[in-house]
Amino acid sequence: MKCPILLVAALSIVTVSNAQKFFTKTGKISFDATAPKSPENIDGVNKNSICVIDSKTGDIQFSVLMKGFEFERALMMEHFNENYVESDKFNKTTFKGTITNNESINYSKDGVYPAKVKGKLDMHGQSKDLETEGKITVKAGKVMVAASFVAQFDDFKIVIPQLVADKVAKAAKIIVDCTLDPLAK
Amino acid sequence: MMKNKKLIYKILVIVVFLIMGVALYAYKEYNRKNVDIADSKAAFTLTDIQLINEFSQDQNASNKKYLGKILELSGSIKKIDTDANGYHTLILGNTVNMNSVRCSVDSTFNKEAHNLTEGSSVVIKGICTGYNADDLGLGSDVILNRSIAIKK
Repeated sequence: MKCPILLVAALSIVTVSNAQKFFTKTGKISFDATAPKSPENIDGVNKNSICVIDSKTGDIQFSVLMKGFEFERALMMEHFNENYVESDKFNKTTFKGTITNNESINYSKDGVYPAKVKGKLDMHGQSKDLETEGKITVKAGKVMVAASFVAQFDDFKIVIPQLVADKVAKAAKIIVDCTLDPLAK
Repeated sequence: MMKNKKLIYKILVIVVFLIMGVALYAYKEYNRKNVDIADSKAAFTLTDIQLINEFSQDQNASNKKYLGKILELSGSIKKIDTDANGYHTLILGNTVNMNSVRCSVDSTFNKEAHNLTEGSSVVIKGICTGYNADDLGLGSDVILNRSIAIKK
């Protein structure tokens, strides 16, 4: 009686450890551009980010639709879309890179692994090299990616008008929080 | 002399009212909430398949037409995704291929979303936020934000 259960368990372990690619279409990417003089928090969140990791090569990719950022205030959302990131013109932000210490991450064994990532961030029509550190957590066959880094507005030609220059930070802290499932072949 | 005083008084009253008006407008604008999807009229009414086809045929034209607009979409639920925080994404479209419309459910509607089942047909209202072409081999998707189901 126990045999079929064991077989199923063994099979499922095999499929989990065999998965090479992990992905999500519901990754969370948020940003915070609150300055010390801001009258309120300036932040938004995108809950439909795509993230793909190739566990063999360490390739990692993100794709974020700029119109998909949600804000507390409608006015903030309009300013974000129309004045700052110009999401009608540049509707997508992408990151393509590699996990440089990929060999030290065991995607088939539960655990928390520090990860170093190097790659290119394409936003607002500008491309910029980016290097950051994060954390990869493997748990029950899922891969959780957590990282944060700072993007300088100057690097991406995002202009903050003089009038509100001291109310908005010069850079945004970007927070990545994605849970990836194994890609079934 | 009397006339002058009256004139100044009149101007003062007008200026005070103007300032009050501007302040009220600024205050209202500043506190303006996101549009209420349920009470807003949809800019376009169509089916999930139509929307997917339009985007896959001409992404730029469809972006211009649909981005940021409220859409009323009838279709069938292929799958319901639930994330770690309990938020749902309704995946609409044809089950024979990987292309879909992904509707992330508005927080106000999340409870009702429990009653929706995979395989059933729905009418969804949500804001179109864009299109992810199939460049990763995972199927292409049209994304709808803050979605609510208006008919089951």
